Amino acid sequence: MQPGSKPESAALAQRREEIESNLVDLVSQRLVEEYREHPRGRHSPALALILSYFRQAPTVGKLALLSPHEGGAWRIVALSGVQIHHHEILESDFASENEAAQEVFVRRLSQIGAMKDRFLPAEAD
Amino acid sequence: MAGRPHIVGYAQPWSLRAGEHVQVMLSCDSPLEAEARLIRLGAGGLDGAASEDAVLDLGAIRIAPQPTRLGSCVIVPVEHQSFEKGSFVAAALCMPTRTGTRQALIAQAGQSSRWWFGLDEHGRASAEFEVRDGTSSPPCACHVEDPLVAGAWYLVAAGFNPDGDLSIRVRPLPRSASWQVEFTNAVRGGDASVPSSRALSGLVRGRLVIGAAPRGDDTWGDVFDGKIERPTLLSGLLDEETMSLLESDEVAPERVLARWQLGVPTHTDEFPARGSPGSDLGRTLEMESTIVRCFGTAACEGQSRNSPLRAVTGHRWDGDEIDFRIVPDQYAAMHFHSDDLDDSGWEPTVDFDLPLTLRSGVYGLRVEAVGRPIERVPFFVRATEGASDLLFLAPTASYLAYANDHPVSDGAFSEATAASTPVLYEDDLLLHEHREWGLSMYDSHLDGSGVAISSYRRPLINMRATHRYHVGPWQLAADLSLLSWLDEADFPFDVATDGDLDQEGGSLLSDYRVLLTGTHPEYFSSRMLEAVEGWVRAGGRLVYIGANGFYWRVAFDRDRPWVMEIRRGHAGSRAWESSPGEDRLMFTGEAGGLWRHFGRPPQKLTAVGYAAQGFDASGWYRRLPASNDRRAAWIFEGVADETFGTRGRIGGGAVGQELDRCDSSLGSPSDALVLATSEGLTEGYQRCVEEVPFTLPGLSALVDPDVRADLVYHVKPGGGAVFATGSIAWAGALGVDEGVDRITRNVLTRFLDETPLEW
Repeated sequence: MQPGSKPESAALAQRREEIESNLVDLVSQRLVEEYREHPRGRHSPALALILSYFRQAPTVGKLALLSPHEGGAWRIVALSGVQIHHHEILESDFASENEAAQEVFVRRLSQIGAMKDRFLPAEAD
Repeated sequence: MAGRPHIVGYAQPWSLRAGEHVQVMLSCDSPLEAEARLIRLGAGGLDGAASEDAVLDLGAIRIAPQPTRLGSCVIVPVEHQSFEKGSFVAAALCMPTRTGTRQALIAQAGQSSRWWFGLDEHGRASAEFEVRDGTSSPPCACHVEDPLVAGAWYLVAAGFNPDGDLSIRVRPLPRSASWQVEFTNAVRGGDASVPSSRALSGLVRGRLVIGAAPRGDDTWGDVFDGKIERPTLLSGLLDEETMSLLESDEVAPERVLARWQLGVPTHTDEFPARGSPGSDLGRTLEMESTIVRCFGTAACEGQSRNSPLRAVTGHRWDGDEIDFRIVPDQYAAMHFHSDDLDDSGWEPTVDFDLPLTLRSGVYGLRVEAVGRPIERVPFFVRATEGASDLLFLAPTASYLAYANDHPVSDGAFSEATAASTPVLYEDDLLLHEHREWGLSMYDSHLDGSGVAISSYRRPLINMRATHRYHVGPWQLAADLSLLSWLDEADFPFDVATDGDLDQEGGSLLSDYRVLLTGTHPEYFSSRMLEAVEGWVRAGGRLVYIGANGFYWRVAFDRDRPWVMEIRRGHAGSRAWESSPGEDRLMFTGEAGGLWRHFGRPPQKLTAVGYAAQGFDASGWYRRLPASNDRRAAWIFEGVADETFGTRGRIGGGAVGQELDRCDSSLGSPSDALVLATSEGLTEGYQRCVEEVPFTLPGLSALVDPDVRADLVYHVKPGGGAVFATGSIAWAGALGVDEGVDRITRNVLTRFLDETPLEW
């Protein structure tokens, strides 16, 4: 059966839309800063909920980090989700794992409609 | 993004002794010259600063790319003289599980002609033959109109008539529980035929292959994804009556040239029906696992390649019985995968005798070439005599289960379990692109079914000292850190593998006083578990320095000890589930799944068992009153603080990754001493799924008191003892955390002292 031809596809898309709409309401400058300071470990309930959703993303197009070879930079890739097919490099100049993870987090916020520009580091909440 | 040029390899055998001969098979992206030397892995290796001094210098070697024969099939070296010339029918029952590529059901090729039938690239049943008579005529071919539906069972037959037509017929089979899909209008039969101007005179001189098509010398292609049952060659014409006879299995015996039995080779003598005299359903098979029996007037035995799965439901399975030994006629199928692999089949690049003086340990062939990352092909060297009282049991069953895992590239759930943004390392890129190196038991095949077979006769990219798993050091890399610490702390040790223990049983352990596990000895066969349980009951002292151990049941192939099988069943931390009715191991007939569900939870043996996992950050331990018990106070000599394990290379503490807890309701001995328990865990640590009967909120360490690691000590009635850390990350704190260091030294020192332990 081809992807997209499943009878449940429309229901799944509708549920995702509702979930993402609810999650967007939880996003704030403070939440973005919380992730920047603590990408791992204990998080506030709102951030934990958003991360739980992001972490369930299907493999096709999923954002991931690529560890540097021999002292290079950290990179962000979009997983192909298909065996053998190369993952696509999206950005290549991050000095640390946390810096790259922060960019992934902001991109994911943007993907669910929490506008990336609203949450730049210098901007007040 | 592609992985860099590379050298990869594997060693045969995997476990051997000083003075014995080892072969190392190497391959690379293009021919090159390299320097090779034997090194001891993990020597001085804490924090990655391993010594690479040559134990044996092997000098310059030449390496060339080596092909891998991927995908499973059955090869039949047909005695062509025994087949009469004339019309014949090739038929099989089949359930495709993945269409869209050219896939053969049965094919045969000789020097001057070949025939083939299967599915074309559109999923349509098709047949073809070719007679190479010097003309440039294309193959004669025909196909039915409608594609076969993946997950549905069909009878497919092709008729090769020297006097006229080439024909193909398809019939959907009656609905059964073995179908993976509901019967819809898309499930259709069909007939097609084409007149042939150049006749195939009959079965040809050459190899016959079931589930694939022959290619050159001992290779194959067009591998079928799905189940095949009752592949058959008949004499005569293909007509409607023949289709009916094939479907009802009532073809006259004199017409059957060959019919292969693809299910587990059972008959009433080997697996008598339940309740009959002499019934012994626990017996293992009496014949080689790769042999495929054949019946008929021109019967010719076949041999399976790359371990297609047996003990799978056939078209008749009604769902009432799930033991293939009781209803073998309902388990008459074999499941082929285009990405099965149990032996890369490479030629040796280097072979040599190990030095006679070589100390037991983990060794590697270090191979270095310009422009390539250094490869270190691992293998295990056992002691010639019991050189030490301390045995490290290398958890090779667990190494095999994780071998060539694709957790980030393929695993949609890996980010959630890791509780952090997924990270790819260079090895992950190589593994993503080189599926011909085979899959792990955490992967799924291209058709979506779980990978039940693993083997060490192939490059194992994540079994390297330098490998970093997406959640940190894992399996061999973590265990080498432990061995390095043993060296530095001056605890001499011998090494044996899970495979050795499975073959030799308890006698392997009898000379040792102390058994040290790896950090994550998750997979155990029955023979392995019986050996360790018996040894501890008889007085052995077990240091279980990890977690989520003694968890899954696996089985090694008795005839091919490099091949291991799992059936995950329907519970536990599982990357996939067994298909309905396919819980039993084909190598032994045992039910697959968690040991706790077969009455042997790890808590009985080690006083702790799997409780939770999380990978974002590690916690630490706090001492409990039992740590001051007179029987156990020696464990904490030199440990002043109430908390310890607050530092480590894995998540910053000694309690991390996967955790075990003491639980008397699951079999932990009532007199076990819980010396310490964990603190500081995050919401990333969640209760193990086999303990979640209903979906409930509140399963994280923040609110669930059963999400924890317990440090336990217990002495058994026979004088045997167990010390368990309850945490995989413990070994990552060795050499970093003073308390963890001291406790480990105290336990090993006292356990190695033959004086009976006070209890």
